[in-house]
Amino acid sequence: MWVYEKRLQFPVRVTKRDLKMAKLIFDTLGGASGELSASMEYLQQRYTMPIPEAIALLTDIGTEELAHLEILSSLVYQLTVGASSEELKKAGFDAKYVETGGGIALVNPDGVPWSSSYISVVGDPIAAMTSNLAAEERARAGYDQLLTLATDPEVIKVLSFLREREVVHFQRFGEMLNKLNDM
Amino acid sequence: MTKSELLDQLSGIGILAQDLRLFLDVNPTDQAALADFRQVTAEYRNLIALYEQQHGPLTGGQDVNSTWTNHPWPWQHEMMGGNA
Repeated sequence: MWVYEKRLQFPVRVTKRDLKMAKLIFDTLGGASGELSASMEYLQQRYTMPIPEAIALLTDIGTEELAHLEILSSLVYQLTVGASSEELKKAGFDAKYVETGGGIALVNPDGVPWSSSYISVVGDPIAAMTSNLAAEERARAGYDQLLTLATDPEVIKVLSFLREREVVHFQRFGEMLNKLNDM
Repeated sequence: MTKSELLDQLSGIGILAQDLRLFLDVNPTDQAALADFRQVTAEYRNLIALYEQQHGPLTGGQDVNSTWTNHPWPWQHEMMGGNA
């Protein structure tokens, strides 16, 4: 089970609306390499892991990725709150997003809904862990891309934090892969 | 300390604890990391207690009045009428 703590893992305090940036950030929410993908992939991989260390690591990283989903949803919310339908349309938001009145849907920037086909839940622990290493690197590259486009220091702070976390996860998954290979 | 300052501190110590947690997941018997983890989580618990005393519960199960529901939620910061 899970227990919710009523705070963000990293505080988000954006005061300037930026619809274009918000649209791009949707990739980290409902995109193929986004935080929802990461969280669901790791949490669902746990059951067939052969050693408790792997189960523990997937539980704790999978849970942290859920907290990242909340950070990014907060970021998109603060970047878009109060925008009119007209403004959203002008910023290139998909018609469906405009229709939902600014709800933070789990879609990519083109409005394509998140799909479990994005994630790799295979019973083989080596295959699973190797997929996770690639997932962390794809996520890191995504944040690098967003960081080249971000201008608001508050947004940059949040994205940099999330990028750094992917690097930490990559290191731990790498150690876990070595451990599994040595078995 | 303001609410924002407390939340920043909680975030900093929380991330330190999380990093040690992940390291211990892979290396559960590392004595130095275990000692650090005990120290950091004790600091974290103290800070949680201080925060909850001033600003209400961080977990719903700890709520004794209506602050869990009614106090601002984490994405509602000062400029938006909250103070996360």
